[in-house]
Amino acid sequence: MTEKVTVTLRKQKWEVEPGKSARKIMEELDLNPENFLTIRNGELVDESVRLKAGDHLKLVAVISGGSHGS
Amino acid sequence: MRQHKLALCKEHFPAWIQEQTGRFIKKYRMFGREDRVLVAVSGGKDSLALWEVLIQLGYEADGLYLGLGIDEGVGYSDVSRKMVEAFAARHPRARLHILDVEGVYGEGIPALARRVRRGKGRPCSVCGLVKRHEMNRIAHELGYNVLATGHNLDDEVAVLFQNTLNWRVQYLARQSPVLPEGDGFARKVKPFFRFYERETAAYAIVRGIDYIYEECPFAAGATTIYYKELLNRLEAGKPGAKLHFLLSFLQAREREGLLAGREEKQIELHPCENCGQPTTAPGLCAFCRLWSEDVRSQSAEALRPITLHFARKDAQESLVVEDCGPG
Repeated sequence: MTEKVTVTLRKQKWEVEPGKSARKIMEELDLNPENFLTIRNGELVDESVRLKAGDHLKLVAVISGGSHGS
Repeated sequence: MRQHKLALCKEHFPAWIQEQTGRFIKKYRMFGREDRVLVAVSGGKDSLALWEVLIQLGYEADGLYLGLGIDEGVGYSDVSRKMVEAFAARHPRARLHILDVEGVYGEGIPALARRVRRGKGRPCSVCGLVKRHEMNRIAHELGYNVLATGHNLDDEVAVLFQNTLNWRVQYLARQSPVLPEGDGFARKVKPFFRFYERETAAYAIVRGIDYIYEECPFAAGATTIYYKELLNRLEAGKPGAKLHFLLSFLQAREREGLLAGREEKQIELHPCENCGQPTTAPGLCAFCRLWSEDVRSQSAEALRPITLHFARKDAQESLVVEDCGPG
């Protein structure tokens, strides 16, 4: 069985086939790449980077409410 | 950074953000080395990244954290305060002023909003009122003439879009990266106003700034977020669209006379009879009207924030809690 790429966004988790770019993965999950940063195995990477089997891709949402509250 | 047709490595990207911030501060005449800058910090990516950049650039920049008493089952304010304190501990040159709204005034934002019934079930309008008042009051009382916020390009474009959709002409005439000081108001500046939200988040991550990822629990479903998502769909198909929208608006207003003469008419301001802050009508300001006489008339001492200064002594970090008078 081929090892997959694990994708997490907050408490959500997916497993996807390796060999795709982070951008492609987000598009297939119906997520706008503009709304996220991509962290592969703990390191910030460009969304054009292709993911290999066993990689962990963490999606970090960048949109904030604009209230700058605390 | 498709909007700039630029790709930078993790070594050069932070330097680019710092250089650009320094350039924007000078280009838009935000402040100089002689100014005392108070950075409003929430524990989020933008404000902590801004504080770090200003420290790196060598400005005299201290932080102000307002504890708003937002829990909502996730301890939101507690978590954000810890993030800010941890940041301050790693930057011993800077001071951190903390005002716990609930501790000082007896109610946090959610309870206050329920009591005064403002904002159609959301505490955001009360929250904005409290923050604007307290930031200005504290800046004035502690001797800071510049108040810096971490508003980024996505914040500014969302506001511009909303005001354009509704043709709020006076708001459009007023939107600016710098609001001058005067009449009891500190100068308000937004040094990050030309950076995409993605860029400020990337800066925070690359620089190892630990920030609160979760949004304020009351932000869910906010109009601003809806507009940001909408504008990001535009950006996905047309890289640079957001930056162009904001810069072309500012250029049309400054160079081509768009909205000329539509600025807010000079309104006569009066000092609030309780706090002394400027207000449009004689009597109490909108902030002081939120509170009972006992609460609003507390002594200046009781209303002072605590100040944390993680000064280094003998190569060991030690926390100094200061008397936080002016200077």
